[in-house]
Amino acid sequence: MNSFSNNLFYSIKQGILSIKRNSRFSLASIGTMMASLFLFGIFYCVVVNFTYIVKNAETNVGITIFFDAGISKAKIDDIGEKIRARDEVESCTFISADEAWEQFQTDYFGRDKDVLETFGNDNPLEESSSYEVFLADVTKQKELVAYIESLDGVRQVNSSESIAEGLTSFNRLLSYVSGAIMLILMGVSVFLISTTVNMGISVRREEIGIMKLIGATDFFIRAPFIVEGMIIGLIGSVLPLGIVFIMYKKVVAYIISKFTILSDYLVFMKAEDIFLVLVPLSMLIGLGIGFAGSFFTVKKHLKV
Amino acid sequence: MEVNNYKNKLSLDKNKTLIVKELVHNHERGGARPAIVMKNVSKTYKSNSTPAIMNISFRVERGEFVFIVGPSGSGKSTILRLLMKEIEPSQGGIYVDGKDTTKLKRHQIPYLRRKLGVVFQDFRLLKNRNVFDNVAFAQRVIGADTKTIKRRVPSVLSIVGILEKHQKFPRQLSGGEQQRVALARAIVNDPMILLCDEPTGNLDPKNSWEIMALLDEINQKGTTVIVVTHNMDIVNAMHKRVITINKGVLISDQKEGGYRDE
Ligand SMILES: Nc1ncnc2c1ncn2[C@@H]1O[C@H](COP(=O)(O)OP(=O)(O)O)[C@@H](O)[C@H]1O
Ligand SMILES: [Mg+2]
Repeated sequence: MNSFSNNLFYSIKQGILSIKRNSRFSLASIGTMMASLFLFGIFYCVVVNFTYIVKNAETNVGITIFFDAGISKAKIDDIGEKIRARDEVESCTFISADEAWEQFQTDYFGRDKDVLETFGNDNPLEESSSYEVFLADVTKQKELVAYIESLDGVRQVNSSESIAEGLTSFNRLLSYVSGAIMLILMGVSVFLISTTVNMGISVRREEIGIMKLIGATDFFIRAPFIVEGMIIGLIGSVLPLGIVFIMYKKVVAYIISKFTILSDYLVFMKAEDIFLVLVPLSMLIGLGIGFAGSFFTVKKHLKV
Repeated sequence: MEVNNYKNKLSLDKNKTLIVKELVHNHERGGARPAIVMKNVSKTYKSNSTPAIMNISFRVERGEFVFIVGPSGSGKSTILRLLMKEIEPSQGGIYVDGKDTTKLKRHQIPYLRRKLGVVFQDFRLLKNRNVFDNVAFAQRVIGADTKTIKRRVPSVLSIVGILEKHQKFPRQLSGGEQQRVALARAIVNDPMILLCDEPTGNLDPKNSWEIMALLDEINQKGTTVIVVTHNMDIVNAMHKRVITINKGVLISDQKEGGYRDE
């Protein structure tokens, strides 16, 4: 073993000892850390799911395009090509008058055979062949609708603008609010860890002085404090992850059982998929906050 | 094969010329590289108007034993603190082991201090560690492995005569015993120079003599020893070199000096 790894093991041991020695402040730091990362976990789950639900809803938010009366098939094909050429368009499907009528029949008169018979072989939707367009990016809907309306041969464009816009802006607001709350919480965590480490340093001022006199490097003096901060951060991240995981499964199951009517729209992400990202992310944030909180505190004290 | 032999011979010759060069160099400078050189050093503390020391110059060869004496407040501790680079001189040059310490960068200071063992009047032991760990700590600092520490620490504890108390904490020890621990910590890394600031200042005469005898013994084994002290009896009895400071000025430097009060 070289002197670096000797020092590293020693530093880790000292860092753990120091957490025990200042147990009260360490617990306070771990507590704040847990609170921050617990909320972070919840926000993350909500935001990710909301985005997911919005994405899902977007695929159901389509645009329907009807044509001028007596339009030729070639003209319709031409319009279709122009629409498909747009980047924001995911798909553009032609629905003939016959298909539309069939769909209409099953949707509205499924059980009422008598009404259907009055139409005989006539198709009341003869002039209602259409394109059904789905967007890859729902934020571009307004733009696209304006473009399509300007095309020659287009009679009418139906779109549910309000739903798409509402979903998008709510999603954005949610990310901003949760981002802001997270930033504040992390600031508080950094502050508390820095206070904990500060306590440890004041208690060990004399010790640090002696260490310097016998030739300790700044790294050697600093390392235990940084290890201390990082361990606090790591412990503070693991427990909330567990709690959020269990909560997530319970809450999702509850919502699904209570709101069966909305089951088409309320599609939640699998807990495993969310936590594949959330676990390393939370641990990294915990380690990062612990590192930052102690690194800068010790740096201030070593500058004598 | 032949080429290799030639190369070996060449590097041998090169080594030889290097050694000869160093010998000549040392001879012309009057011996090996001096342990300490202070050249016209002055120090004025920021909060003071008068300098703590003025224009101090002296030179200590390797293996010497030197007392620094003088009344309280004359600047003795200031000299030691300058040597440790705890403070910077206002003027002058300070050389330890031939290197100009005023030119050292911040990150190089720990390596200067590893050449110096330090002992203070107030012992400065770590209160929450036992005797063994206090000494082991100095080895940790330089990155020694546990095996070395387990071998080396008992050995120095037995040199200073405190091995049987290795599990005691500082508060469980007498002043003389604490100073032995501090001395063990100072020598555990085998420093080139041992700096002692009034090491017997808090000790009774018997313990004072024992600590001085230990310092002498350490010096006999080749370590350069600098001792700041007030203890006239010991200085006069030991017949070592004595540097006398008064009001920040070096007033005498005697080869086998004594210490007159006043
Ligand atoms: N940190 C300091 N700040 C200001 N003045 C100091 C400081 N340390 C020592 N002095 C002053 O410098 C002078 C020499 O002090 P010192 O070297 O400690 O003397 P000695 O060790 O011989 O008793 C004294 O006048 C003392 O008051
Ligand atoms: Mg002094």
